[in-house]
Amino acid sequence: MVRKSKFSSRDLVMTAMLFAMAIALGLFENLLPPLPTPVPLRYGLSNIAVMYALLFLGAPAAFTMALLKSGFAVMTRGLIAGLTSLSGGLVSVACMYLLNRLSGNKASIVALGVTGAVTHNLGQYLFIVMIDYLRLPVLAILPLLLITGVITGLLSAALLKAAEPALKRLHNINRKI
Amino acid sequence: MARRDTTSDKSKRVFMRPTDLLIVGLILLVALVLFFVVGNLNKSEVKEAHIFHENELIDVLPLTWEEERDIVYEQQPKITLHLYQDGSIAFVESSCPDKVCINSGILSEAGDWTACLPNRMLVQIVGLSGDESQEVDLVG
Repeated sequence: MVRKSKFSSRDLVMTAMLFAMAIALGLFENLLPPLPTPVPLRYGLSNIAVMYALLFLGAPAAFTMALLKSGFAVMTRGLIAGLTSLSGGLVSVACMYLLNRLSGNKASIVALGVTGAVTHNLGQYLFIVMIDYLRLPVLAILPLLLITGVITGLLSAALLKAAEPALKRLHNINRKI
Repeated sequence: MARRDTTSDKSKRVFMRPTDLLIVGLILLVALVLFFVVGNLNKSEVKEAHIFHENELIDVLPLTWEEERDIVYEQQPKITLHLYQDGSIAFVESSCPDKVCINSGILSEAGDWTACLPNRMLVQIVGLSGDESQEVDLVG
């Protein structure tokens, strides 16, 4: 029995565009003043695109974007950077998906954004630990990852919320952002 | 065509709901607790800088009042550390693209640390108070 896929070609094109937007946001955030952290942490603006994809195009689209983003990272920043991005991205999307699922698709954007950002940082750190790349002081780095995760998560949630009026024209938003 | 969405009426635009505040609060609480645990572990006058490269300890510098000097290690000839007169240390030159290590500034207190990730180098200030248990927070 073949189930008719609900993922239309329109959705496919949107995923591609959102991926491009995620990259563009990533490039843009490099122009901003760097966060005052002893390790490279980003503003995570591309998470805005990933969150949107998760909510309106589905988990497979969001996971695909995470994969594509890390592919891009491999091409531009190298293998380790790419794998770190993959680790953070997959953990982040998985946690956002779970949160959304467990809340019956009612998780607020703030909760999703913060969860996504914090778990992204934790996923990246986990990878660094697993390959024993550099033994950063655990007790010192965890609060840093958590706090910057909260702040950047709030930022991307606020930005997505601000874009809500424009997004309404794209999808029949029967979900509260 | 599209039914009127009443959720965006100007009267009620809430950014964070109580649950959100709870989540954020919990995370920040955990972070703060960890932060203060670290803060209270490290208070000593006698300090050393531990320099790691690729997870190997390549140097231990006692941070006493010294002559200012630049330090370069043969494992990373493109990275220059600077030791200041008051016993603080900082990255001053590096081959990494981000220069996060340099922007981290000067390390002076026990527990201060910074790293150059692309070059796999870590500099951490360790306080000595008679026991070597300060190293317990390194992942190993």
